[in-house]
Amino acid sequence: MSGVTLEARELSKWFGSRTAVDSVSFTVHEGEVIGLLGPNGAGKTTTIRMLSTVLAPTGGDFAVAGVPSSRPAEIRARIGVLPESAGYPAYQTGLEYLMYHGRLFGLSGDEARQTAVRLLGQVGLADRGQSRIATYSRGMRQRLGIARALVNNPSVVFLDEPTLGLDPAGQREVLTLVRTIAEARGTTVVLSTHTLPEVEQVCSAVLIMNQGKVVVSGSVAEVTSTEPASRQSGRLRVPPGEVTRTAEAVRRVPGVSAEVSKDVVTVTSADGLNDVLSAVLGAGVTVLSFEVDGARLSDAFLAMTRGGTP
Amino acid sequence: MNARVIAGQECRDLWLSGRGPVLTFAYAVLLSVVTYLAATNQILNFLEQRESVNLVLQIAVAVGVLLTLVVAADAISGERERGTLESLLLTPVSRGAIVLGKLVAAMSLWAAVFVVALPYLWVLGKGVAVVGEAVLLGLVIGTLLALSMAAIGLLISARSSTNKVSLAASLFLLLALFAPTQLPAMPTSSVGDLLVRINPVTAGMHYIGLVLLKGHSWTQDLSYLISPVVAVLATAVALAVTGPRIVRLTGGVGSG
Amino acid sequence: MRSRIGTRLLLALLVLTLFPAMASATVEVAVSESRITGTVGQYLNIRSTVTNTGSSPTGKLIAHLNVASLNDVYVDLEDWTAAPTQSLPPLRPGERAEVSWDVQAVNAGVFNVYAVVLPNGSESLSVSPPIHVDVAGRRTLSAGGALPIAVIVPILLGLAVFAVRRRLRNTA
Repeated sequence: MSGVTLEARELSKWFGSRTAVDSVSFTVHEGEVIGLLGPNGAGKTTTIRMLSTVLAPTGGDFAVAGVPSSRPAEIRARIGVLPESAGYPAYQTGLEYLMYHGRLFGLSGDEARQTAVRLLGQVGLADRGQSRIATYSRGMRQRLGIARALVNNPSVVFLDEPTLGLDPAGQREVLTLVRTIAEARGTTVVLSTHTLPEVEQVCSAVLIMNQGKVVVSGSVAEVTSTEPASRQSGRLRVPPGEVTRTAEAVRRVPGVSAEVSKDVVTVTSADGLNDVLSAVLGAGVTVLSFEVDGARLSDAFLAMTRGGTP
Repeated sequence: MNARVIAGQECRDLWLSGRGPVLTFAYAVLLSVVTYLAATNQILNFLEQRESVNLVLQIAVAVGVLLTLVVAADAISGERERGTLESLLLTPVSRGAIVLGKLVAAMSLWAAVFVVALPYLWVLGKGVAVVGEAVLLGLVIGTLLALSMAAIGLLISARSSTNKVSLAASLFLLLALFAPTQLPAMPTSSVGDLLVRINPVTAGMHYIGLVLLKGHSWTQDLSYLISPVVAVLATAVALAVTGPRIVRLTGGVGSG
Repeated sequence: MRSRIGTRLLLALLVLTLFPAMASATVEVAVSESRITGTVGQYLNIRSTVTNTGSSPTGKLIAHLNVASLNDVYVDLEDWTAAPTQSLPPLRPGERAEVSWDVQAVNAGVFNVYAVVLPNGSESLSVSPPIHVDVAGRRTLSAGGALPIAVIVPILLGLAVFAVRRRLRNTA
């Protein structure tokens, strides 16, 4: 296992009497892409803001890339952040925006320009660098924001809802970009999102928060296995003429239900699907394919957050 | 160094986004109208040359202070509302450098207002050896007032929960400070004189009038400059001390 | 006859003993300039120094400025200054006080401006030497001189605004 690059210890944040984050502790390893999940108000954004030193914690401490939270400016020099609902100066061009932030991270004018041009190319905005940000689509702005988060070649990147409000194509572009960042740069990525399939696609680890607390953390497989699906389901594809016979055979198995749609019979069982398959084969049906649904992250998420809205 | 980068970008945003040039253009039109009327002396009756110069200088200082305050009042709360402050706070730049950069950018508007006033002062004051005096007075008093107002604007902006609150509070403050300048007999009573002296705006404006209009020497009424100087020092100290704490993601008193 | 003279001397001695301040307080008023030239509308700063040259303190004093025309021009003092009269605190022997007035020359002509100090009692007035004020007629600014500036500056700034707008359009 590679070294720890992000460590939070008993991190808490209160706004008046309201507890937004309550004694959160976790570690993230170098090169890991960790999905930060939780329903609205779970404390994801507050956690990211504390870790990125924008908000001062009420209690606890943390370290990023070995730098303790008592040295916030040094931490900021080592991280890149795409804030939730980030705003952009409408009158600046994408190139000017990235160059400006490069300068703020201590790059010289020439270095800032070179970095800006390179990053614009990496996020697919090479041909729009000279356009004002006001003319960018939401997806382009998110990609520009990701480029800004990379301007200082950070050890850890925090992406807070990077696909929020994007169409499916935009979501795919951003997720591809996130995967590329993690793979090509070896950067640790903390991805906060509402969209569970994104985490399954991109993340190697998951941290689920609810009501300000971490309720579960670990690899995607580990988290998924903490709450196995209460019922197992599968899809049988059979020749069209044998659909009715298949459904009848399936329904004879105790505790199993079947739904028919064209040449597919969807079966759901409380006790596994082996008996279903035996019954169908016993009935002499030609099975063209049989897909068993795996346990899903959403089941774990819903169980852990007690039915909260993802 | 970082303050310089921020000041440079803020100035570019102000002057290349159209806001700065448009405001300066509108102000120049106002000065042109006043200058022409003063020069032809038909509508602004009974204007002696020194009075014309004084009028233009007072307008320049008043407009300069107003614009500087408005830009400063928008500097932090405006960025907060536009969602651009967070990315600035995420850089390793110190909060003090952010404040200083924004202060310099706001003051660039005063500098522009002052430079634009120069040809008007020259054309109205030539022949009575008052132009140099007017320019120097404008530079000293105007800079003192603009600096203190810019600092107050930034403090208000940092503490305001919304940009509207910041702009409204700043404009109200400016109005309250400028209103007494319209009361002609203020300094004739001892209480009125005290009120003029306490208020940095009225004190500064009164000092300009005394030197430029009434021919007093620069040292004769220096006591009127106490409150403008104190205002600059007090606001600068307040900004330096509280700036790092109040330049944050959320505004409003007591917010986290 | 001798007794009448003796009685008078005795009376004078008594008065001097009882009311020494009134008997020996003397005030002098000096002005800083003797001649001022200006134009109509100009403000003139008249500065004077009031000195107690007597050997005893004065009472409260009142300083008053006056303007007299030397060529029959009508003078309304209230037009020249809103506050011609100022109060002065009592002065100890040898003590002096500065008094100044800002007056606006509202008429063209030749004037004498002088300051008067009224003691708080029945003593005689103290008057400063007059300041000879020569007020020339109004020098009207030339509209022709101001017009180019009034036109050129907004045009230049308007061009700057146009250039900025154009740059913004080009980067759209």
